[in-house]
Amino acid sequence: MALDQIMFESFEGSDLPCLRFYCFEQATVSVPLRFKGSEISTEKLRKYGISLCRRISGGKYLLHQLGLTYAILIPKTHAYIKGLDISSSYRKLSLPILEALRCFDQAVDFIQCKRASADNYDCSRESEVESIGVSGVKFVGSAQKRSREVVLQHGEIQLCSSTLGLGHLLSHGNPNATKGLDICCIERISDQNNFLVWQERKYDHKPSDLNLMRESVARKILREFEKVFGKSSSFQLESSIINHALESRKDFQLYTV
Amino acid sequence: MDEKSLRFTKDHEWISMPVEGVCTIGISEHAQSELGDIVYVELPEPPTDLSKGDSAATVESVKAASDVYAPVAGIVRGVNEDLEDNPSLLNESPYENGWLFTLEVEDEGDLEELMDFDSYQVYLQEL
Repeated sequence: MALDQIMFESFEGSDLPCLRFYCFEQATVSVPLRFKGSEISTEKLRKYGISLCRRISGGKYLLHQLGLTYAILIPKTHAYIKGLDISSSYRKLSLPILEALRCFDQAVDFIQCKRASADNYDCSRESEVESIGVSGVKFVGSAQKRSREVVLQHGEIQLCSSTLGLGHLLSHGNPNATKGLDICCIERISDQNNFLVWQERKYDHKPSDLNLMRESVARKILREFEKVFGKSSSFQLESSIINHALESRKDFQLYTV
Repeated sequence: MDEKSLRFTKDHEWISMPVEGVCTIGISEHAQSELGDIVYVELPEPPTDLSKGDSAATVESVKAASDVYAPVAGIVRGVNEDLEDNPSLLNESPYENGWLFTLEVEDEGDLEELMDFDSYQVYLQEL
C-alpha cells in the first residue's frame, strides 16, 4: 500500500498506464483515510491474526487475505478515461478485470451491493459505484485516489468466495470440487458494518494452489488490459522509490500481529 | 458566500476575494456532486505555507479520495473545524458552511488569473 502511494505521487501526467499486482503475506485489513482507531478492535484483530494498514484511497475497509490485490495508475487525460466522471471511470477501469474473471465464471458481472446473507455488508451507500460480483455477492472491492493528473484505482479480488463458479478456480477446473468446501463465517471485527464479504473457507488443497490461482487471474487480467492499452512491458521501479516505500511502511502499518 | 463573487480553478476549487489579505477556499458545487457523499476531510494545519498548486487538503467520499489544491500561494490561517464531525457540509453547502480553509494570500494579483463564475460555467460545459 505504501508503494501504491509513492507510485501515485511519482506518477506524471505523461506517463503510460501502469498495472501492478501484489498480495499480502499476512491477512490484513486496509482502511481509508477517515479511519479512526476505535472502530476496530485490536483484540479481535489479534484473535484472528489480522494486521491493519492504512491506504490513501477512499471506500470501505478491505480484507486482503486469500486474494489478489491490483493497482492501476492512469493519467486523467488518457483517452480511456478522459472526461469521465468518477462512477464511469470506476466502471471503465474495472471492465478488463470483469472480462478476465468471466473466463472463470460467466455469471460474473457488475452489481449494486446487495446483502446476500447476514454476513455480507450491505453497501447501500455505494449504490452509485458498481462493483464486481456474482449473484449479488460482491467479491472485488476497489477504491480510488485522484489527483489533478492521475487516477489510482486499487482493490482486492477475493479468490475465495461463496460462489460456486469461483470454486472451480480452486479445484483446477473440477466442478465437483465444491463438495469438499467447508464454509464458515467469522464474526465481524468491527461494530460498524464496514466489511465486504466476511467468509473464511477451509480447503482441502495445498496453500501453493492459491499462488497458482493468483498467477492465473493476474495473467488473464493483464491480457484484458493489453486488449485496451496495447502490449505491455514489465518495468523495474527505481530503487529510490522502493526505498522510500520501505521507509514509509511504518506510516501505513496501524497494527501488526 | 455569493458564488458569483468567487474565482474558480480548473480543478474545481473556489477562492473568495481577499478580506484584509485573507481568502476563503472551498470546492465547487460541481466537485461535490461529482464526489458523492463526503465522509471525511483532511485539512492543512495552520500556519502551513502553500505554493500555488500544492496539494492542500484531501476530500474522501464513498467513491474516491481526491486532492484539493491551493489556488494561489499563501499561508493557511484557519480551517473549518465543523467538517470534522460533519463532512457532509461540503455536499450540503459547498459555498457557505462547507468552506475548507482560509489563506493569507501572498500576491492578490494571482487571483486575476483564475476564472470568474461565468467563465467557470463555460468551462464546465466543455468538460
